[in-house]
Amino acid sequence: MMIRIVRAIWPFCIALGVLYGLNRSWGNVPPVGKLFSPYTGFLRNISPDFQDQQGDWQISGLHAPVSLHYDHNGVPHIFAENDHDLYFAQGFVVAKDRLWQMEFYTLAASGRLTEIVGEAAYFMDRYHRRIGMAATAQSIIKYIEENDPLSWNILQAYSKGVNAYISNLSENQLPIEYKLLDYKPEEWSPYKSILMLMNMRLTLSGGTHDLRLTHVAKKYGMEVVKELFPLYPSEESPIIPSGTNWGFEADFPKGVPALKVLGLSSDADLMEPPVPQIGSNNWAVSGAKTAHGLPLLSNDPHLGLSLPSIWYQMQLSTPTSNVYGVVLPGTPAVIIGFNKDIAWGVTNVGSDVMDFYQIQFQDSTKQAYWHDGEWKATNLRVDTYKIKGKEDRLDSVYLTHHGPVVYHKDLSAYKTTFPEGHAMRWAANQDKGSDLLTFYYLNRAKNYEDYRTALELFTAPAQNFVFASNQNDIAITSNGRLPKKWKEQGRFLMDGTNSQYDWQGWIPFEQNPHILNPVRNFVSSANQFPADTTYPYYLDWSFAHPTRAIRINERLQEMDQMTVDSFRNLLNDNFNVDARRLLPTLLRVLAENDSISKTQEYSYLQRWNYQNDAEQIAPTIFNRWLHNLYKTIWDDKFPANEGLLAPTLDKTISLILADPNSKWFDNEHTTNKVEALADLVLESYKNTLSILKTELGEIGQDSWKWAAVKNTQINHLVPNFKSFSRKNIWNGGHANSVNATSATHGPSWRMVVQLDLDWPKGFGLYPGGQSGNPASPFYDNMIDKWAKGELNELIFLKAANEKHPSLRATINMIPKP
Amino acid sequence: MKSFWISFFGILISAFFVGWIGPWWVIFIPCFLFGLLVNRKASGAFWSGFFAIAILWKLMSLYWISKDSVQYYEQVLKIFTDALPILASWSPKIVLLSIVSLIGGFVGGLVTWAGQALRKI
Repeated sequence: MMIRIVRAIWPFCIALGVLYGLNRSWGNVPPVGKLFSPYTGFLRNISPDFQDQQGDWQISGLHAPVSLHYDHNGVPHIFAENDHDLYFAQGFVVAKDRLWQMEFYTLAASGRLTEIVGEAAYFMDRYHRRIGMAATAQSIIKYIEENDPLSWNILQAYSKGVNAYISNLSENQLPIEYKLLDYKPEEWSPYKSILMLMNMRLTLSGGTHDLRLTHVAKKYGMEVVKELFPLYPSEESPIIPSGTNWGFEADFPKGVPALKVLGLSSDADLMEPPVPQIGSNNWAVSGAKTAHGLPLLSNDPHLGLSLPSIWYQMQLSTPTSNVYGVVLPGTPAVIIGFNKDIAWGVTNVGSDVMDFYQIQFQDSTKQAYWHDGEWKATNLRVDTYKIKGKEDRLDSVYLTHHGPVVYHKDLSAYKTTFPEGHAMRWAANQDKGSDLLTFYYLNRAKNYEDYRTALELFTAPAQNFVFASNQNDIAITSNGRLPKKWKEQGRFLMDGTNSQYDWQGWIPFEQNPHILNPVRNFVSSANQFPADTTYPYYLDWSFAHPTRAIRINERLQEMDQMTVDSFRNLLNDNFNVDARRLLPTLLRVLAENDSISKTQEYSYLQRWNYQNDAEQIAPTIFNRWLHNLYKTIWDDKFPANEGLLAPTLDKTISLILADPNSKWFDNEHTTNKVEALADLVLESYKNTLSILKTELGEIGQDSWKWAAVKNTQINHLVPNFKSFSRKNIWNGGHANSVNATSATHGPSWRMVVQLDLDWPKGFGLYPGGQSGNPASPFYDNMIDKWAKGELNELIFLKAANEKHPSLRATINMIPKP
Repeated sequence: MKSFWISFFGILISAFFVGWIGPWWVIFIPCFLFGLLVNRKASGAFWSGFFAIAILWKLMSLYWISKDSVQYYEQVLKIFTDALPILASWSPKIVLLSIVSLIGGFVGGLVTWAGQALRKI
């Protein structure tokens, strides 16, 4: 009897076991049963055409009907009766195209990636939590809920929209990444929208030179710092033109202490370079310089290029507002865009808003630290990490009034540019208010006054907000909470026991660098110094390499009767200002050597027009050579593996031009010889060519062309999903050209707006597509046009019932009773 | 033989409809029921379930692929073939249809057989 039952049941048990096994992931292997089932698996993401999207959608939570049009580029145009429905629909529509991406960003920002990818993400997660990303997002939410009903209502409506989409989402329609990584979307919340903003704060203001420059000061002394790390570049074209009268003086309530360099208790191990490719351009010209007599405005933020793209285009309209532009998936409102009367754009300020204070703990319990003549209590926060396939982990963070102590000696560091035993003061951890209102008001701004009112509400990351209106005003403001700093404050690690080193409040909004309608009839920014050294407060000693700014300002100065095409050409400008400045001098050195000056390589350089164009070979040689020369000059004296910062490229070029016999050109590793500049120029030139020949074969082939060597690629956010990425994109550019396209970074959105009294014209595109679904034709459809430097005409509808030939689908979002 | 064909067509048709609702494994409920109620022999049960689901999944997959305008299924498959390079030497369509038929067929056969086995009680 028993045997008969066993015989009858064991196949059933095996079948259940197999079903279970195919229903779940095993390590990196996804749940293959679920995934390959044609009913629920990845084949179901093959996306419906627009025709399938016609008709009515019943959605609970809306107050009134909303009309939604999709144009031929997959851009949604939302027409709502009120703000609640507008942001509800925005949340719904963005989630429809980008749900996985927006949730992925928030998991990264809040240090929760270990929950989906396992232990590999632990150090990054812990870093994100220790610097306060999640904690600050939580306190911002608390502040908004109690003090800022407008932001709170917008965030709530947006969340409801996202959640309305999630709750209607069947398993078979889950974005492919959920299916491959085997997890499900969580409920959205206002907190998650704030995490998205924290992500931008980290990307744009999360770098620091402090530790590495302190190492330099310890090794070589302050005289060398003064000589090689000047407070202002040798060539610069600041955002606010030199000679501007500031009309105020610096004010430090607690006084200014002497500058000093502290002894370091321990050295961090391996130092990482900052990310110089993150930057942006924006500019506007007044009607005096345009063909149509009213301003033109342009913006191209340079970020890490990714698929899905960081931006998403849309139009948001109610009876009292109508705006077009790009949004960040996961946050309400348009971030960069235009309306009937104005246009605006942003670039990163990049001033020093992250400082480190050496903390003197009372004892090893770290419960108290010495500050201002007394022991002050630390706060302890304990974070829990859930790790896929492993047990939870706990982590303790000690908080001082400056901020968190990010690393202790016993923690292996994720960011090795951060010192151990130091508390971090970071403007991004400001929690009084969100930046959302700035964008809410900019979306509705009608003139310069509205623009300034909106800007005052902005915190971080500080941005250069460019502005133009159809009243023929142009303006730019370096805006955000900028700490009042005495000269060189926070340039080195600081003494955490003395309150004179503390930040002493914020520069008042009115005193942030800004200008309205300058006499030169244009405004611009490219992450360079906001102002020259006459500006009363110290902002930072190092900003982006000045070449983009120099080129943009030269071109804007030269051009008149400008049109959208003039702007498009400038966006695609590949000119290499460094080459113009430096190459003639370098070639003179090479020319003394007959065996070089008669070569093909030399003649490429000699005939070069300084354009980093896709088809040219000279930029391949020059850019690699300059990089090599820079390393040849500095690597022996400022080795990265000792945590030393090397001088800037600008300083290096000015040293080459002005002081070819400088002692800094001597190679410290050769004891029997004193090198001069010419030796290094020759050595680096020969090395570069020998490497290039090994890598690329005989000179003159396609493999030598700049586009092939630069090899721009746009990768999916999950590095393992290589086939969802786009490689070998053929285009020109360089991180230091106006067209700042490098291998992995570049213009993440290009926009040109022609202001008009009647109706503006917008042009733009980004290197990706509206849909986050790799199965959709709108996943990467803008990349080829982007690589060619073309722009799409943006369809900015006047009203919901406008019959525009480019509209492809119309949907009525109807409140479900 | 008759019970094989009843089981085969019964599973094919009912699984086709049931598949649209619920999680991926609901299509195996008809397999189980036909195995339990119709099949006399273990081998007949297994192969009727195997071929019914293999053919159903294959046809369904062909239908979705026909709507794929961007070679998306090849990209997804590449994530697997990067890890298992031996698969990359065949045409992606054949690889995909083979994987789909084998997984679906194997589970379909197994569950149908499991249903049939319970008749022994």
